[in-house]
Amino acid sequence: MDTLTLMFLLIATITIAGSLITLWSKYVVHSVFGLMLALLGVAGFYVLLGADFLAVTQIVVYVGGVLVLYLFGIMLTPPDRAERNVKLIVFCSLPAVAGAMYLIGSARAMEGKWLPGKELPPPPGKHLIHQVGHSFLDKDQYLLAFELASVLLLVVLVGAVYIARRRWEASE
Amino acid sequence: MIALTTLLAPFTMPLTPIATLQEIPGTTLPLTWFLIMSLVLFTVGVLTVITRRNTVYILMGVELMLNAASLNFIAFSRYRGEAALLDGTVISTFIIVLAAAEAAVGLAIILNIFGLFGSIRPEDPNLMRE
Repeated sequence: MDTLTLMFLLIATITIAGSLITLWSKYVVHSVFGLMLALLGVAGFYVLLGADFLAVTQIVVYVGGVLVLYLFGIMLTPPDRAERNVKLIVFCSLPAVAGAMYLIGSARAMEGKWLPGKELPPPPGKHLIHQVGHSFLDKDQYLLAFELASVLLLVVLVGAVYIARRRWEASE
Repeated sequence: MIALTTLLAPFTMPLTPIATLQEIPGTTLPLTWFLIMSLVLFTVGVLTVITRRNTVYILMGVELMLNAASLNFIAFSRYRGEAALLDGTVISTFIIVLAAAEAAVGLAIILNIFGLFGSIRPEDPNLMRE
């Protein structure tokens, strides 16, 4: 077993453990930390696949921002024991496992068909972040999507503050 | 109508040589492993969404599903070469932006629902039913 396989198995264990904690844990805060494990594992997969920029973005935005937002949201809502519908989990797991098996079969069958080469070109070097920055601001590539995303973030910033204000007291 | 043979095709067709990720000479990592990981994440996300009785969990399940989709984008683009990896990175960045926006608005709505109904269970806000 070589190093790459070992790294993959390690990261896969962390990710699956984190997502299962999210699914099964009795306490909401434990679930949030399980989600953090899963997101860090996905960032590890990005590093393994050579997308360093995305891994850093994932850690900064998700672990640094979104999870703190979740913790605040949990703190501002009642200390609710997170109820699970265990029967429903068992009931839904069977079709989920069946669908997963089918999709694994499909993935194995189409592999090598859609992909041009059996061997990959060498991993991208330091130019990738360069290219990402240029493609964000190139009007022939992703400039429109980039500007739309910034407008969306502005709207979300204002809209979330507007929605979350204490309106119910004023109406009474 | 989909014929049964079409549905069974993934299992019956002979396996083509597996595309491999070669970072260091002598080491390989098949694409299927990443697809299976993303499949596991997506399945756990769906189960979280449909089995929990707390609205915060629904948002957390959606985060897991978005991460699975993003991992799929990156895996496919990595196995198609450097130019494709650029596109995959950009698209996944937009997915992260959308997920952050969704979490912010979703939690704001949950806070509002808690203020109005005193509960964050998804079945409690039922004003339109009465």
